[in-house]
This record gives sequence, C-alpha cells and structure tokens, in this order.
Amino acid sequence: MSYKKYKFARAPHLRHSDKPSTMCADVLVALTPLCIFSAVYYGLRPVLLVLTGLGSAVLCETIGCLIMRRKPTVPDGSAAVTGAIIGLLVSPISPYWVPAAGAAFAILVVKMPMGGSGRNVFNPAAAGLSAVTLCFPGFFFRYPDPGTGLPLPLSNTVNVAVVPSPASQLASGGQTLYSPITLLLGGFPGPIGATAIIILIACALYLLIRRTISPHITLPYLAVCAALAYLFPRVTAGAAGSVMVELCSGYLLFCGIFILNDPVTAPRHWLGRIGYGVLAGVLVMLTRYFGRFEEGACFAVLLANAFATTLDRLGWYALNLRRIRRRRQS
Amino acid sequence: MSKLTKTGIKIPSLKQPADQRPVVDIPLPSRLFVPLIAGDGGACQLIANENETVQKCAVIATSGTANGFVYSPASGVLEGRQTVFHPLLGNVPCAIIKCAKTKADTRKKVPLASLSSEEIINLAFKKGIIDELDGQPLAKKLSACRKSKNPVLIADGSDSEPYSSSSWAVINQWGGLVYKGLKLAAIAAGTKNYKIGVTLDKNRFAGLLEKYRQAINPSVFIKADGKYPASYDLGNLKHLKKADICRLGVQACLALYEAVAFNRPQIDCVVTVTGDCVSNPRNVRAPFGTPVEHLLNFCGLSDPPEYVIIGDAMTGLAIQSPDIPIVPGITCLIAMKNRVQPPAHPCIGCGRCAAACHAKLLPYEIMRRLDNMQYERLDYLLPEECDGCGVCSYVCPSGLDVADKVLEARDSLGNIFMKWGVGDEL
Amino acid sequence: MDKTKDRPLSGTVGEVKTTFIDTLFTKNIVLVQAIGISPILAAGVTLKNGVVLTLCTAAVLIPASLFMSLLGERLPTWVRAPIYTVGAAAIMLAAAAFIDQIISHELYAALYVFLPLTAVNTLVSYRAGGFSMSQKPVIALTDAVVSSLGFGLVICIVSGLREIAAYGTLWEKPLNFSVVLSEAALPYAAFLLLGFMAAFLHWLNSVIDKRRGGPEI
Repeated sequence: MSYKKYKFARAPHLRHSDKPSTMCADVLVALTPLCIFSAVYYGLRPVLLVLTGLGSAVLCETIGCLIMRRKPTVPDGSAAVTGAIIGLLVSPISPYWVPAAGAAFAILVVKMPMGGSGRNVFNPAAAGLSAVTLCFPGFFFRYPDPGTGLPLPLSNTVNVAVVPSPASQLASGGQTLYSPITLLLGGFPGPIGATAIIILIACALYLLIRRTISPHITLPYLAVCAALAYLFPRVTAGAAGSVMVELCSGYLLFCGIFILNDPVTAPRHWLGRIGYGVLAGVLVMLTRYFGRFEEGACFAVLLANAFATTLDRLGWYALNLRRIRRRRQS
Repeated sequence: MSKLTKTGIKIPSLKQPADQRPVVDIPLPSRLFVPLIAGDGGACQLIANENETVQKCAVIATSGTANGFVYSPASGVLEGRQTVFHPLLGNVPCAIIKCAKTKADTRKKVPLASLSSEEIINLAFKKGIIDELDGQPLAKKLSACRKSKNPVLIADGSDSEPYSSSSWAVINQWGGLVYKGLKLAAIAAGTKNYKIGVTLDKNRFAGLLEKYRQAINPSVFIKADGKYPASYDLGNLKHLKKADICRLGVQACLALYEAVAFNRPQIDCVVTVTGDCVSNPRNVRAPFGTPVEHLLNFCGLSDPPEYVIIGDAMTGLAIQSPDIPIVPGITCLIAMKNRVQPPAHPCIGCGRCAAACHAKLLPYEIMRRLDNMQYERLDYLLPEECDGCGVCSYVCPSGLDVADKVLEARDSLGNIFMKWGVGDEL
Repeated sequence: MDKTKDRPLSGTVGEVKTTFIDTLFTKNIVLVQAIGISPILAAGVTLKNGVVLTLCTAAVLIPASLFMSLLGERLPTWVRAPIYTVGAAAIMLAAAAFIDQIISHELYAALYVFLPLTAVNTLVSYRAGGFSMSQKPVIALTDAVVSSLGFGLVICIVSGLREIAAYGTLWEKPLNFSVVLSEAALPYAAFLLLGFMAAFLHWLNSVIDKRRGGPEI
C-alpha cells in the first residue's frame, strides 16, 4: 500500500516567475541611460569608469566566493549593481583606480565578510564610496565643465579645468549659478550619473512601475530633504529656488532612488520604510549642512542602515499592538 | 498608504479546458476504501459483517453517538477493514467495499416540511455532510455561525486557486439545487444574508444568470475580484467589510439540499482532475473511497506523472503512492510532470511576502528568526494567524519555502517559543 | 567563594599555562573578549603610542590585580571598586608625570586624554575587579601580565599598520611608500583592522581545534 511512485514536493506548486536577478537587471537597465547621457557631454571616459567599477566588483565577488568556498553569487546581479553605482558617483576626471578601489572595498570588506549576497548589513556601494571619499578626498568633488563640448581624454590622469558644482556652491552660500532648467536638463558639473535629473526621474518612474523600488522610501526621503531645504536655505534664490538647487545638486536624488532602495539593507515593511526614508533624509541634509564634504549622502546612508532592522520591527509592532496584546492575553 | 502598492495577488488561471466540460460520473472502481470517520469527526465501528452485501447509502458504521454514521458510497460486498495511511487523515481505518454493478438508483423525494434550524443542523450531522473548503463538518460551521452577530453566508464558488474549477462546474450544472441548499443553510444559521460568490468573466456570468433566471434571485450572486486567497478576496468586497463572513462550499450546500429533500447522505464529491500529464482534464463526480489511480486512469494519462497533488497548486499535498482514497475535502487532483522549483537563494529582502500576506504578518522575519533559532520573541510576530494560503512562497523571487517556515512556527504550538527560557529576557 | 586558594601547589603550573595560552591566544583579551578597544581606536595611531599605552596598562593592571587577589575578599563589596580605581589613578599620575617630564612632551600631548583613561579602562575593572578577586595570587599575576601582553600585541600591530598607512613612517622613521591613506588614522580603520584580526584569530582557533580533534574545554 505504501510504495513510493511519485516525488515529494512542498506547496505551493506554482511560483511567480521573478528571480533574484530580476530586480538587479531592472536597476542596471535604469542605470544605462545615465551612462549614455554622461557620454554625450564627456565622451567615452565616463562609460569606461563605470565599466571599471562594475568589472572590479564582479571580480572581487568571484574571488570572495572562492575564498569562502561558496557557489558564485555573481549571477544574481547585486555585485554588478554595486560596481556600477560606485562608478557612476565618481567625478568624470577621476583616475581609473578610484572606482576600482571603491568597488573592491565595497565587496571584499563590507559585503563578503558580513555574510555575502543577501546578508550584508550596510550598503556596499555607500560604504565603498565613503571609504574612497575619505581616503582620497583630492579626487572627489572636482568636476569638469560640461559646456566645453570636448571629450575627456582616456588616460589615467587628466588635467582639465575644474569648475564649482552646485553642491560646493551651496556649501559656500551666496547666489545660485545655474537656472532651474539647466539643473533639470543636466548641463552642470557633477558626478557621472547624478546630473541628469530628468533622466533620473524617468528611471525612478520606470523602477516604481516595475515594483523594484519602493515609493515608501523615496517619497518621504525627498519630502524631508525638500522641507529642510525650504526651511533652512543656503543660497539667496528664495526658499523654492533653494529646494530646487538642493535636490538637484550632488547625488542626493541618485542616492534616494538607487542606494536607499537596495532591498537587502532597507526595511521591508511599509511603515518601517517610511521611517527609514525620513531618517535618511534628515541625516543627508545634516551631513550637507554640517559635514566636512559638500555631499555626505553616502555616510548618512550608512548611519540609516544601522537603524533599518529596528525601524522595520517597530513599524510592524506599532501597527499590530492591539493584535499582539489580544494574543498574549488569550 | 500600503493600499497604493498592494494590488493583491492574481494567480494565472490554468482551469482550461476542464472548466468547459460538463461533470461526468466516473465508472465505479473495483474497490472503495471508505474511511471510518463520521460526519462529526468521531471514529466509527463497523456494524455490517464481513462478506455482507451492502446497499448504496446504507449505514455501514456508527460511532455510537446520535449523529455518528458512515454510509456506503456504492452497492457491493463489504470485504473487511484495513488501516490506510492518508496524508489528510493520518492512519485511518477504512472499510473495503467491492463494488457491484447496479441499476440506477431511484430517489424518492421526501416532502419538504419546513424544518427548524436545529433540525437542519442535526440532519447535516447525521448525513455526514462535510464542507469541502476546509474539511470541517458543515453543521459545526453553521451552529458556530448562529452565535455571531451579523453573519453573512457565502457559498464560495469563486475557485480562487489556479487549477480547480469544481465549484464552477457544480454551480453551472446544479445551480438551482445549490441555491436551495444555501437557503436551508441560512435557516440553520439563523441569518437572512446569504450570497453565492463567483469570479467569472462577463459572458459566463451573463450565461449563468440566464440559465437560472427562474430559479435564482440574481441579487444573490456577488462577483469577487478573482484574487487569491478567496478569504481575503471576499472579505475585501465593499459592502461586506464589516460583516462576519462564513464561507461554505457549494458542494456542501448541494449535499445539504439532497439530505433534506431526498434524505440522502453525502457519498460523493466533484473533483477536478487536471495537470499537464492528464489527456482529458475535466471535472468528475467520484464516490468517497475511490483510489486516486482510478480517477487518473479514467481521465487518461498521456505521460507518467512525476508529482501527483491532492488539492490545488497553492495548498495541495504531494502524495507519493497512487492508491490514496478520495475523502471529503478533496476537490482537485493534479498530475504534473513539469514543476517549477527555482533554486534557493538567500533572502534578498524585497518585502514582497509581507506586502502579499493577507493576514498582515511578516513572513521574512518569522523565517529569519526560525533559521537563526531566535525563539524568544517569535510569538510576538503572531504566526498563529497564518492560514497557510502559500502566497508568500509564491511571490518570493529567491525561491524560498517561506510559507512552510511560517506554518512550522504556527504548528509548533508554542513549544519552540519556550525553548530558550521563559521568553521575557532581553 | 572559590576555594582555589586551598589547592596544593602542583596544580598551579598547569593553571598558569592554561591562563597564559587562553588570555593571550584563544581568548585574547581584545580580539575575542572585546575588552579595552577604545584606546586602540583613538590613540593607537603610531607605534610609539601603542607601546606607551601598553606599558601604562601593565603598570596599572599588575599591581591592581595582585592587590585584589590578595586582599579583595576581605574588603566589603562597596569599597573594592573605589580602592582599585583610586590606586590605578595614583599609579597613572606617576606614570603620566614620568612620560611628560622624562620621556617626551609631544608624546604626552599626543596621548592627551587616553593616558588617564587607562586607569578606568575596562581591562582594569574587569580583570582586576572581576577576575582576579577569586583567583590565587600567582594566577592573578599571570593573568595581569598576559592580559597586558595580549593587549599590547594587538595595539602594537594595529597602530603599527595604521602608522605605515597614514603617515608612511614606522617609529617615526620614514619609509618610502608612495601610497598614503591619510584617513587610516580615523577610528573606522581601526575597527576594520580589529574585525579582520578577530576573524583571523577565530579561523586559527578553529583550525587548531580541528587538528586536536575537538574543542578544548
């Protein structure tokens, strides 16, 4: 009566077709237009920088998996996304070893030792960027003028005139240099992937529709940044103008779309996500106002990551307190 | 604000072509294995002797209480009893009946005197009517319904799971009788609110209304959204939000009508036989105790299946031997060869399981705490509220068995919570 | 109350050896027990700083441990912590004056607040106040010496590496390195270094345990 003719499997016997690489593939697709946009202004160099970061991250992840004797987790795409993000946030005139070093630090020091893919506590892209910003501050926050129309040379070191970016101008106060239209269209100096504001918004909409990023993180984050910029303007363009410049300068918007929405390090419950977005917004603006560098978003993200799990749990407990009490009493 | 991004889970429908074919009665198998468990759940002893001829619908076992009877689903010879391991019932003693060919049985209609609700409930117990949605005795559900303030009885014909279409087939073929049974159930439960829930496209719904124009009041039908699970879907409809919903199976309503009108016990059920190994997927009516193998052979196997699942794709049990008998509660049988199981990857933290959970739990957190053996505050996450719908595992892109972990936490009955001390330490 | 003081002397040598290996290696005071990390982070930037901090810690810990082991149980509970803290502070005063006047004023300035903080370091309160009280004087003395040695090993490695990375010098003698990571002088680099060293020690311990065929109790 009890011979085994068929196999055993656990319910459900039907699965959604998404894989872990689906979300990372979406993000890479969204990052591509930013590369292309930067190539229009600066030539091939930004694309090579991004590819260097990407390649370095993938190589380090393979090495890390070999050391830890695990199956290679490169196919899930998260290393590629980390490397691409670091590559997109350096200056177009930085040497090639800067994004490579940042990506290596991100994977080999922050991601792999903390448990590897899916288990890291701190965002590797933000941590890698913070490390290279701290160690080699001379190569950061020096951006060339996009209006010259000349492609940048592909050699390792470049000697090109450096112009102040909106973020540095905010740090020093005074009048704004760029009109809102210029800011939206991306004709101002800044990191490779963070200047094309219109394209960033379009990418964000695409990722929102695909359910890869969560509006519960991005919208409160931007709202808090805008509110703080409105209340405490640093430039003489009026409160609304100040909001425009703050949100479009540096890599604040990029961070809110790509770095904060990293699924592994962000909270998973919607109320926890809102708290996380608010906290990150407050910290980013604080690092801008009082920090050492003109853009401190990467450090702020690391601080917010430390609170991610707590916010997640607190959010759910707050919503379900009555249910929990009822259960505990019965 | 969570409603903005929560659009519910719509599982692709795999019901064709079984839902377009009428229900057929299968020919009797050579042997039936009838579990000796009465309608109220009590174990029964055989009262017929071995090698005695039994008639269809005759009592073959009783538990000694006023309402505990087991009926024979077919005429034949009682060969004896045997303990069978059934995945749904455990080790259960079964009566083996060797079936004999009989002429079609005549059913005498009993005058439908107006019965009171206690009488209906007693009759439901006596005739062994079990609700196919959750395997509970129908009478127990109805008497529990009497105690709530504003109950709404819904005959759930929505077939929210992907493969099964047995409820639709029953409503399509015997809708008038289901309606009468539902009215009887409403009398038993002491309520005037009763509905039949369906999820159909416009054409089919119009066809159904047209077919039962005379018999059924069209306002009884309510259209659900077609989301899974049905308990969430029906409970989310606008005018039903505050009500206390009691979901009944349509086959149970039909059986209740037959019990009251013809004094007939529940001896068969409609099962959807489908899957990519079945050559003629369709709904069949099989007597209880039919081995699964017989159903599969009747519908034809084009390929030898690798998995046979009783129940539907989301919550079904994979059985390993083909001679498991059909018992009340089984409405779908899937024989499949290609079963997609994505390779397991560590949790990437997308949060889709929490967004999809209709009981508003945190499946990823329960899974994480179980894996890391952090049992101290696991009961705060309320795993007892899980009803096993399986949506969390379905949406997980990493291919993890999330639903299993939550059910493991739920079914441990608090034992693992107590494993690491009293539970109030930090 | 531990009655180890009443055991015969022959068992002491084994205990001494166990304490030695344990506190130095398998249960290293900084890397495994995570005691005494803060001076490493903030002041362990150059090798000279590291050596000086080690000597000061030893100077404070050894007398405190001996004292608590010999007399600790006879004192009432509420007076033990104040006594060894005040004693440690007194020794610290002498050591600070010694460093300031006799060794080097810049070194004293470079260490600023972390020199007196050694008196109230967790090392002192945990080992002297907690551990040594219930041990024989020999064990307490060994523990104090080895704790200081373990702490000293770690702080010297970390501060040596940080000095090479941040300033390109070692014991203030310049080396010819072209790459200078000036931010290695920040505490986060010390945290990372300590984390990797702790992981390395853990791996070494597990390899040795496997060779021995099981964990040593």
